[in-house]
Amino acid sequence: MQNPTHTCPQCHSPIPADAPGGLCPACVLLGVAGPTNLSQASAANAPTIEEVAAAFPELEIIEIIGQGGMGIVFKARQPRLDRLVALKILPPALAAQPGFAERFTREARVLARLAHPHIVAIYDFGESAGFYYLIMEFVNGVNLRAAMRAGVKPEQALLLVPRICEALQFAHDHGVLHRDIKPENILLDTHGSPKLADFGIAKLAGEEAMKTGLTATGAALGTAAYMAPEQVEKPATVDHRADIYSLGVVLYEMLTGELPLGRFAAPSEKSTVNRGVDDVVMRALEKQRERRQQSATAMKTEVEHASGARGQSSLPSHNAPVAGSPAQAPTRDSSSNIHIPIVAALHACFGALGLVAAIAVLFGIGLPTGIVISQGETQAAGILGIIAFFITGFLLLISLPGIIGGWGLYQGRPWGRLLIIILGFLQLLNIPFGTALGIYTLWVLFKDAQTPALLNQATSPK
Amino acid sequence: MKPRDSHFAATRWTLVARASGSDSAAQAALSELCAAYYAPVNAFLRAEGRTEDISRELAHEFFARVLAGGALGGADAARGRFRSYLLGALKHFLADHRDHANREKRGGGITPEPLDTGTNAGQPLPAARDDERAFDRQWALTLIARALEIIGVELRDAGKASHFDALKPWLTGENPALSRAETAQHLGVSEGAVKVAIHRLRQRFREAVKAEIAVTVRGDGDVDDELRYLLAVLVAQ
Repeated sequence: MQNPTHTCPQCHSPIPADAPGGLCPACVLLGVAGPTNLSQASAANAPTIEEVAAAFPELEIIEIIGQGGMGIVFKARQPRLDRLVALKILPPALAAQPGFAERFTREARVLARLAHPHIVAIYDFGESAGFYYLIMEFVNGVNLRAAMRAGVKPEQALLLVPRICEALQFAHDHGVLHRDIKPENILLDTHGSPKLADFGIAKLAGEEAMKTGLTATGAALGTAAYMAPEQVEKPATVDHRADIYSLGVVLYEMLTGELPLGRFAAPSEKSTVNRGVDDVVMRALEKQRERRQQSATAMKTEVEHASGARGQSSLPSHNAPVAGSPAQAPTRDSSSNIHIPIVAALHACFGALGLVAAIAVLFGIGLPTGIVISQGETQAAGILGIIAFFITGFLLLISLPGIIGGWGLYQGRPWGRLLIIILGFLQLLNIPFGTALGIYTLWVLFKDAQTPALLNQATSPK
Repeated sequence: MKPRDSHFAATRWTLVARASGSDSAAQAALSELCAAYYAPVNAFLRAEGRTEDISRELAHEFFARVLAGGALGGADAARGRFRSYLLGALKHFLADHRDHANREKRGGGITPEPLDTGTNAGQPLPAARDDERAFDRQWALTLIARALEIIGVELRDAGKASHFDALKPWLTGENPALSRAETAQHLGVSEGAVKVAIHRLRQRFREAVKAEIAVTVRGDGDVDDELRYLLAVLVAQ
């Protein structure tokens, strides 16, 4: 035991002096709030290495490498492919839940599609001898918790986070939330490149477990400190911004060595980072998700900007692999959907054209009529003037939202997206070029995973 | 022995409050309930910057008023939770108290210099939410402490006091620092027995916490809500 009395072994937060029985109060209550018997049952029924070896004859089970929140992880070898894999066995108690098998298949398929250099890949999944399992990429390295014990420098932290943001944005674009970001789930390979593990496992484990924020074994109770407030208060409403909060907690912890509990100090008071970094971290940790960064990409950009302000010399360019990792492909644009900037640009161009036209009408018709009116020819000129006024107004009405919405969409703002969706519909009427733009816009935006969530939010009464 | 689910008589506080003043059993139950949740009230008063002594004095005065039926009106009390109600009553009491103090000040014609810097006289009050947070947090801690006490007493009564101390750390979950085998050796029982005992302890603790909460809310459906709320309070700390 490292800190016998002062730090909770579960959530690693300090245990307050007035904690009843000297137990971490949050973890004690989490234990109560959890689904009855699930935690005990799974801990007591953990399979042995022999049982697992018997259930997976095609694998050479080497050793237990972790007993995470969602079951046991074994290091194993696939002899035919001669590669190492991580075999995760989900807690047997989970499988007893109604509807588990269908949910498992559905969710695991989604997870298996998440192919990204910073996400631990899922090779296979299924059920064998009663064990529900996932076969995953084996990451040779340590998790961030271990790295933090050894000491993570602020510079390293600020390099890691943008990569994690890329992974998150990629997953969010595919409609997958992580829901359980914490140092234990961020693996660092031998080159120091991060890989997010246990993506969406929390959801796969079931709605019930998520409702209480509790994962299946007692060991996962430590998640509490990394959970966004809404994950505890209104678990059903959780969206991608909960991941941003959790990543904010991880970043804060990497910078300061502490968790942002109660009234916490700004990172710059505890480490060598600048005030710009404070802003980024504090925004990610906003209790109200509307005030956080609205996308992982936005957080990435902010972290890079803030750390860039420290002086580019101390930091490699953001496209350089961490610590010279050869495994890492050049960083892909985190906004995986390349069409979105195109849509944004097209709307902005259309908007700009409209603006030019509006000015032309104003000066070409409006101004001459004004002159005519001043010379006494009021009646005919009045009609012309009114027509000019309406045309200008109409052009401004469609062009300004195009420019503003295009910019907003490009920046990843939800209102920008909403504006462009509305314009997309309006442009359908604008035959022929507008119609094409409208179809393209709607195709791109409705294919994108963020849109359904946004529309739900916009149309729900709350 | 038959486990007791709560220190309290099996009644809800709303019933207690509705009957207050007219029924001596209900009156006794209410006084018990107030005594149990003395600590959150004190925490609230302290969080507003008062000294320990002044807070205690005020808390006594407050509870005296509550028990005399002056702060818990029946109709209102029947809605909502004891926690919210006690907090509302406390705020109301403090507002009254301030008014009263101000009147006396003006009546005396002399404005006294604030001698005791421990009171909040002349100092800006902290943001209202800090004291409420202190109240809620202390409430959660008190709840845990009471549930721990209940199961502790049960085990002691059953002659297993050492079991309770040895197994208590498992209430926060599994962790690598805890070894079932070592505990089993320490208690002189088998590892299997320790496993079972941990399981029972958790289950009893869960029941005890929920039973404690049940007394302070309106219906069973509110128990989980209240539990989640208190959990959120602790997590947000």
